[in-house]
Amino acid sequence: MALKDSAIPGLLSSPTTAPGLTAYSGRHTLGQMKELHSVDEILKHLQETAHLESVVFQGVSLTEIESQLSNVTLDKSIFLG
Amino acid sequence: MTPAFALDVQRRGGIVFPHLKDRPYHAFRPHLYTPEELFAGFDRHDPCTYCQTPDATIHLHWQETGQVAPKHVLDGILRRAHDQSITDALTEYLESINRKVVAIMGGHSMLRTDPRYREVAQIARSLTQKGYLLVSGGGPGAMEATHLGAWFAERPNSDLEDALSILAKAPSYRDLEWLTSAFEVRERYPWTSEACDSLGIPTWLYGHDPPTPFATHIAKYFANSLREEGLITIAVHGIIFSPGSAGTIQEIFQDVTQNHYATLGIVSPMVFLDKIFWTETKPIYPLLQSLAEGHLYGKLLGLADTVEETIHLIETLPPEKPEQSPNWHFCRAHCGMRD
Repeated sequence: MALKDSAIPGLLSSPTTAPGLTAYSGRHTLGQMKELHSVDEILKHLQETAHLESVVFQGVSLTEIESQLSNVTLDKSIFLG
Repeated sequence: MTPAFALDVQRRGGIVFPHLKDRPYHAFRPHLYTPEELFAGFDRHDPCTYCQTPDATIHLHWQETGQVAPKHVLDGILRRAHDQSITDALTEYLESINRKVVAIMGGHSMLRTDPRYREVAQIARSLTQKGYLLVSGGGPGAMEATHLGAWFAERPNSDLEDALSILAKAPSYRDLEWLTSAFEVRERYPWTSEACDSLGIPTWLYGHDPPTPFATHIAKYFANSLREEGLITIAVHGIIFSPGSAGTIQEIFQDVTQNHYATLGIVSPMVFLDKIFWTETKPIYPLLQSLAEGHLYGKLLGLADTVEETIHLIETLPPEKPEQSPNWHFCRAHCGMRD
């Protein structure tokens, strides 16, 4: 059975992948968590959802927007670096 | 993030992994590396400026902190975090470009003047023109040839030949001008478009080999095991094995293992470039044919001697999905669990 011409069907269709590659669950996600890489992405997400629960912040300097995050729900969010 | 805000975040249920700025790498980087980042500060007129680049600095730090056995637990943790970040960035990159991935494996010691080097470059150039994303271990030799070929996908073959003549003045990665001549080519023939992008996946374990600057995206790992397995895993549309030594042969058997057990629920083509080499000099191919008897991947093995044959095999041997993926589990088989 030949596969369709998707870029990496093995990763897209397989529930697990080899060590070194997490399941391929979509852009800007670590597992099922939304992943944000920039201040702009954070502010956009905040505008859309009004919370930052279960979000991964990766490699973003938050110093400039700390005050905007002071009253936002951050439960289960992860701040990487 | 200020310390006060970090404390506040934790009080509110968040988890904070701090960025430790005394390491020469960012453990939680959100993107792949680029040649411009790894070679920052490199002057192509002065080969020794490489020693101050981030790539060389990180390799030196890796050496000084215990190499494969970190002296401090923090270095072990941060390296793992770094490699996880690279895997995450790699996954996002592959999904964003939506191109079929083909890898080329081969020896790091293959000289730029070796006829096989030219062939690998031509194969990579042609496959890139057809829309494939070419990936390799991102180092010298056959790996560099892979990315060189992709780099020239939108240029005439005469330009590639001119580049080969420039690179020929430093045939081995051990030559002083190996890196400067590569940057000379990049300067004369600048990047054209994303259609010429390619992905290198090197490791600081082999950090004595600089990565090739012809790879436009670089997923550089500390852990070679993650790098090897990841490279083979993403090459769903096939791996081309050019002549190589122990490292290449290790990769062949890693790939075979994924195909033999259909570990990922898919089997991928394996194309061997140089019939004499793979059937007589290093007679891996007959062994694989025997191993593959009765398995789906047996019909996805191919031998080639020319550029055209290699490309034809990649185009005509699509990855396949076994009818039944291995899903046996002790708890399901004996205990009625996991149904």
